[in-house]
Amino acid sequence: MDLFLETQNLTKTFGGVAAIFNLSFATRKGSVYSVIGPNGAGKTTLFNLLTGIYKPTSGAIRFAGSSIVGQPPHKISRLGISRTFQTPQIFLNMTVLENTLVGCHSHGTSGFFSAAISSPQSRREAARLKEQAMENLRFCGLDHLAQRDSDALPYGELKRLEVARALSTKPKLLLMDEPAAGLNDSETSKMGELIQGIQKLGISVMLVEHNMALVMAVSDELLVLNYGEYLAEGTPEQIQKNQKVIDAYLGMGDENDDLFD
Amino acid sequence: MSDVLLQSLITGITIGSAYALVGLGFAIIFNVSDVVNFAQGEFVMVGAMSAVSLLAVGTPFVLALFLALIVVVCIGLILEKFAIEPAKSATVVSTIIITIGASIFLRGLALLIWGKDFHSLPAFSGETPIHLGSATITPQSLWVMGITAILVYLVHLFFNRTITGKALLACSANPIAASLIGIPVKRMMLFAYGLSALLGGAAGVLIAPIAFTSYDAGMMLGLKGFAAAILGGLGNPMGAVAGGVLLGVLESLGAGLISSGYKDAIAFVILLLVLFFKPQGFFGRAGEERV
Amino acid sequence: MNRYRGFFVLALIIIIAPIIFPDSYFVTVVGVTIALNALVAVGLNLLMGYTGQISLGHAAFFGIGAYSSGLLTTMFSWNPWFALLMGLLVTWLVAEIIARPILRLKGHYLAMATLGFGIIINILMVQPTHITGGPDGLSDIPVLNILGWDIDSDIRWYIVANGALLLGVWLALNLINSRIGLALRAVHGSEVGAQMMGVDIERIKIRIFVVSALFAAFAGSLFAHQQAFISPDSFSFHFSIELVVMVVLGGMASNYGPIFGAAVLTMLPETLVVFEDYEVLILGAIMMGIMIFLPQGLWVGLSQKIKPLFLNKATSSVESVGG
Repeated sequence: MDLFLETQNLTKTFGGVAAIFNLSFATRKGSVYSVIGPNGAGKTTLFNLLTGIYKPTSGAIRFAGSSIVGQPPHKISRLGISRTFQTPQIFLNMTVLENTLVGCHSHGTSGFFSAAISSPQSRREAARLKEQAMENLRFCGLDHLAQRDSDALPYGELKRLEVARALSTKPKLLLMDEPAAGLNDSETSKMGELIQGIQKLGISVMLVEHNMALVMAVSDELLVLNYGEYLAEGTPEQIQKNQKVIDAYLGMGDENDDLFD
Repeated sequence: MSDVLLQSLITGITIGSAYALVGLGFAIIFNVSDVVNFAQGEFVMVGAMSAVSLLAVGTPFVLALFLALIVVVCIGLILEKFAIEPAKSATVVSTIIITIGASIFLRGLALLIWGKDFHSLPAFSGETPIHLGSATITPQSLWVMGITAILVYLVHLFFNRTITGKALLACSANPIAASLIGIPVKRMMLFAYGLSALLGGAAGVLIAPIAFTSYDAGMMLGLKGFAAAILGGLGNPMGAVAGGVLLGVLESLGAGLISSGYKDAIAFVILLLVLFFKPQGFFGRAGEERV
Repeated sequence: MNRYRGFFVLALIIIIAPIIFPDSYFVTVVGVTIALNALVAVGLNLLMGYTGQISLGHAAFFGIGAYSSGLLTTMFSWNPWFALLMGLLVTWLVAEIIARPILRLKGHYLAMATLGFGIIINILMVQPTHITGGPDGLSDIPVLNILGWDIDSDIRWYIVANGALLLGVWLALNLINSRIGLALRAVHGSEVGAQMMGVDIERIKIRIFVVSALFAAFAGSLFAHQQAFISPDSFSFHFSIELVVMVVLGGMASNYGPIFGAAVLTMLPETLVVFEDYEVLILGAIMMGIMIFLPQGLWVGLSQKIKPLFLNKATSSVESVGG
């Protein structure tokens, strides 16, 4: 077994209330691993813990064999974990290409001084990073919009821009927070293809998503959370048959999460 | 030595009372509208200057003070109506610049009206100092402390006991929800600015007999009031009052110990230390930023 | 190259102005002040306009540069160039120390902290009278000498100050169009987003704070030599505010906006001499008016209104912020 990202007894409390409680799980390298659960199950909190935006109250997080607890987000990003956000955190003051170029930040080395005097080395580097960024835009089908201001993009393209930008950090693991939220059917299926394409590049994916059709189609394994706690883990088929999961979802009443679509 | 200490304490609480009133005004506006009003100090200056002018044209003393407060409240309302409200969706930087602009504008107006001379009000009730051991306290100091205490208590009652006060708090907690349950948020904003202006104006007429006032006297007072509010925790109006008194005392103790020329520097060093090490202030609530 | 087009236009204006108006007070005298103010504003814009971090205390760094040059040349008879370098070094040190705790703050707190810092430095210029000359300041600051040329006439100062400005603009342009510049703008756009892209936001904020402080200190040193006399009044809270107004008046996140803002704001009191008493009033009114009606600034706001007239509709995007 090739364990990639694992947590042990991970707990995060806000003012005494546990958003994540005693959570242990492990993902495999190269897989698409999805986290599902009703609203408020702690999925986004989990992502914020994994990326260093929150510090866990207790518990361990290991990535590719070493602990990443207490590391600041930019270090975790440089270790190879990148992410997209539920509400896109696009730099709306920049063009599409510039957004993607920021993703290349840690693959450049030229500092303030060589940038300010526009040294040949920094210009060569800029050209190289631009090449990379364009490649990622092409991969996400956005290359024709490269020079467009990002605040003028439709929502679906903003979501794909976030993916292109995250890929530019050359991640080993990509966390995607509700990539299909707010997308229409054709945009959603495009996003599904994109996720599978990312997996083919050899990048592991961890997915939080409410659209069960998409989750079941792309996931190798699922983790079900309920009120911040572990409920079940398994392949899509196992999860669909799991009685605890069925009970939890039925208990939610008419949620928009249609597990058995 | 203890006499010096006592004397500094008296001076400190007196000037601290003025900071407290300004800080309280800051905190009220900040809580209701998320705007830090850099023109708060100008309320103080306009209050004092108006009272001086009204007295000069022969208005009876009490009436002059009263009218001066009305002038200041009007300025507060005009500021909200014509500078803050039109820029509703402004960013933090924009509102900072707008209110600094307002403060400079008021200063410029004061310069035109009153010139560069220093002015002063007569004391409310005589100049004979009262002896406390070997330290002395002027009757005006007692007026400052007494009226400040009364005003602070009234503001406290207002927020805790009246419907309008609670509606104002509701606006600060969640303006959208407040407007949904029928609270006239716009009018509440106006009210908050009027109230803050009133408090600033009161500070102005109270300390005018002690400290000379001129067209540019508001700036430092305003900044100190802001420091007071941060010291107490911006989210807590009563904390601003405590912060003001604390700042006044520390400042006058420091001035006694080091040199009076560094008095203002002491206040800002304290401010920086608080911002660096306890940014939520001494009486504010800490909270983890949620993303 | 496209990036430098505005730069060449600026250089052309600077060169042509004194040729057309060789004896104009506005060009050779006010032009020097404009250039020095603009240099500070361009640096401040890197911090405020591009990175989104306000500073209400930049007059302090301008002052540290000026006082370093003034003190070292008058009291210790240092060579002005060594004094200038020392001024930059001291500024670097002060900025580096203060930046760490200050830039952890945001919004109003950051504004207040930078303001407090500025006032403290200003008081340190007034109080130790035996060193700094107190409120009267320092006089008889020697002239600057470049390769045997004494910079002692208006036109020579015009050349030096505007040369410094062009150097500053060129550096700022390169920086903003680089990997570092993108990271700075990313911090402005979304701090969380920038962090997840591997940008060490704490470090990069500190760096740009130091860089913008160095711009101010360099201009301050030149100012001291040009005036031959400095007093704390020139480095007060009021000047910090004026600097911020220069940046926002022209328009943030545009390299030429602050120069435009500096020109307008520096000319204003000169043209309003008749209305001297109205100067403060008008400054306040401008600040409020711009922020309420043209929050992107005159330069950016107007150029956006004009741009669509020159481009055809399909390619123009009115919402874009000019570079």
